[in-house]
Amino acid sequence: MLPNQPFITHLTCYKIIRVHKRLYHKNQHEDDNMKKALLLIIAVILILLGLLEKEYFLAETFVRIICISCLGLG
Amino acid sequence: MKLQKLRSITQVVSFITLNLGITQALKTGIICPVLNCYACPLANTACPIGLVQNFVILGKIPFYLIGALSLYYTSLGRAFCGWACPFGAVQDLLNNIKIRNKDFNPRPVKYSKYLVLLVTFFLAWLFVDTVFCKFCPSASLFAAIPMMFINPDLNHGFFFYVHLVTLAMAIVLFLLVSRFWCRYLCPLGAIMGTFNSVSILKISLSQEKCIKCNICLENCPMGIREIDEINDSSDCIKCGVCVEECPHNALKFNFTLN
Repeated sequence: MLPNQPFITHLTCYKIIRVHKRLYHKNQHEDDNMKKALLLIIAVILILLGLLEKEYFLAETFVRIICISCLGLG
Repeated sequence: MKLQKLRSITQVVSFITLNLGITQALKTGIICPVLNCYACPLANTACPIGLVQNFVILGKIPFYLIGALSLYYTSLGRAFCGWACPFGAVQDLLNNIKIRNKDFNPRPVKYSKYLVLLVTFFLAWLFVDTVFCKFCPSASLFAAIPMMFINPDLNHGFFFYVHLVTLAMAIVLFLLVSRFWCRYLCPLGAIMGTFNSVSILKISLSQEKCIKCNICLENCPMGIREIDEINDSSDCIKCGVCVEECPHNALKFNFTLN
């Protein structure tokens, strides 16, 4: 468990992993369609979860503040 | 229009699109699907490798980043490397200079990009810094050098010279081995490659039309050795060179869930 995120996020993440595991095994001998659709659904859920955690704004901050120290300039 | 001409156009369009951050208002938090340094003066999207290192430093799980990358790569797989990555485009450009060694394709070294990915995470955690960015040749080319010209008053530190050295080394390697960075070192390519077999965009092979002439493999810029590995291999960048070179039209692009 990482300390910087609320309990609800950990719980959602745990649930996604559980559901994914169950469906993945269920579909191993079935068609690929379900697996891909599931991957896409999980991707969308993760994006929404990230947006709830305001990760979009964090990413935006990194783009706006040009890290010149990373480039060896100062 | 020929496929490779179309690919060159998409590479140029992608480079322009990823560098539209002329003003602060145009800079977004959208995750870039390819390796494009967010320290580029005009970058408008976030480099996934730079961002993931910052999340490692912060001790947070990057849900938004994982979700966005899963969405991109489940849709198109490593086609982003072949069709959109500006650093890949530079390698394609250098690939036209015919001094490369076609035989250099050691299979165990192919897994080195996964090692680079793990080392990137580990070093970010260990040094609490974006260590990979300090060595990234893409950042050298698209960020450090342009920044030096835009703002000549900036002091050149140790890592600026490290950037220049890594870029020079990368260029020499690109001249010797086609798509060297994508094959052996790109940590984002390692992530993308895992999605290749499940991506919706596929290169499908018609067994009836294929006469096993291997022209497709001889022209593959990623050095794929088996016909069965086209598309499903984590190295296939879906550039379409094989599709275009096949004299019997046995290979074609299609979007399929199966």
